[in-house]
Amino acid sequence: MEISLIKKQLKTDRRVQTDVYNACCRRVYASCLRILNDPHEAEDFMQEAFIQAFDRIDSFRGDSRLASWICRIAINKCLDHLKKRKVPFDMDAEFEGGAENHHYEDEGSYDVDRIKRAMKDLPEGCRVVFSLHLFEDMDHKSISKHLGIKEASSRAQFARAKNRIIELVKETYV
Amino acid sequence: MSDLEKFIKKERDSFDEEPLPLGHENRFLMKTEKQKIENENRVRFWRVAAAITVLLLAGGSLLLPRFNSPVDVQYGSMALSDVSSDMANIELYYTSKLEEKYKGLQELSETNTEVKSLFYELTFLNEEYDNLERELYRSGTSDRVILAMIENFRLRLKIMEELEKIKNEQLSESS
Repeated sequence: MEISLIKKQLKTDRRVQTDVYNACCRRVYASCLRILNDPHEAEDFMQEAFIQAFDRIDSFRGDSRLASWICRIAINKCLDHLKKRKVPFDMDAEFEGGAENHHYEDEGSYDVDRIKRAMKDLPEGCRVVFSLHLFEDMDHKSISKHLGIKEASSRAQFARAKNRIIELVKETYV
Repeated sequence: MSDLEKFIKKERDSFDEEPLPLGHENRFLMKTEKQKIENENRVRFWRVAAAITVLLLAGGSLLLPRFNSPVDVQYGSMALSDVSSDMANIELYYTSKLEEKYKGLQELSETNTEVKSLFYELTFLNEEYDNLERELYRSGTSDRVILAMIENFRLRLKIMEELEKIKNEQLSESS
């Protein structure tokens, strides 16, 4: 099927829109949830991203997966929202506990649910940087641009998040 | 890369397995419906705005020459004297000349074919002058129309002079 025909259908055909939504919503929702840590906000921004994507489908160049493109729109929306809320991405003080000063052994016994739970307990700035870098494949330069922080700060937040997750996962095993 | 990072990369898809809030699909459909209505309203708004703009432009193009015209011009035509004081002097010069010449031509016999033809031409030029006054109003005092009006005066004066010449010839013949 020609890309122009797909675009036309995505812009106007409710059935096609619903199919695409159902096929991609899980991935987009998970990305939003990792960033926002709030199921209602995550759903709102995910759905807004789909609506915007369908409305502006003409700007989709087809050089990436449709789901990835929609996901990127959703992530941008979430980050804008956090910036409006003035989330301190760059603040050293936000990290409680001091895991950044202690290097925890990375022993390799992990499971998905424990990591997910640990991520939810991270301070906002750390969690966002960790999610963007590890789950959305954004490098620190790109993260620093998006969040308006220094590249070094992004690296530091990531390292702290990683240490904290290892620490929290360990605690649940004890 | 740490073991944690390796593990996350390996299990990447499992991390997307999050239960979506109940009823999310219905809420999405409602939002798309709302968006559709908003888009339609937006299109309707721009259509109405475009129609109003066209009407305003059309109205403006009809009224603009009137606003550009001197204040005392209230009708669908304007005289040369409405354009400027110089034009008023020119108009006064030609109208007084034409009036003077016309008075002298009252007794001229119209049985002469040449005289008849010249009077036809005069009538035609008089009507044409009225048209030019209307065009001057519509054009917003166009130079082209002003020159045509002066030329009209000149032609009428020339015809009057020819008629005057014929009248003099007739008088000398009869005496």
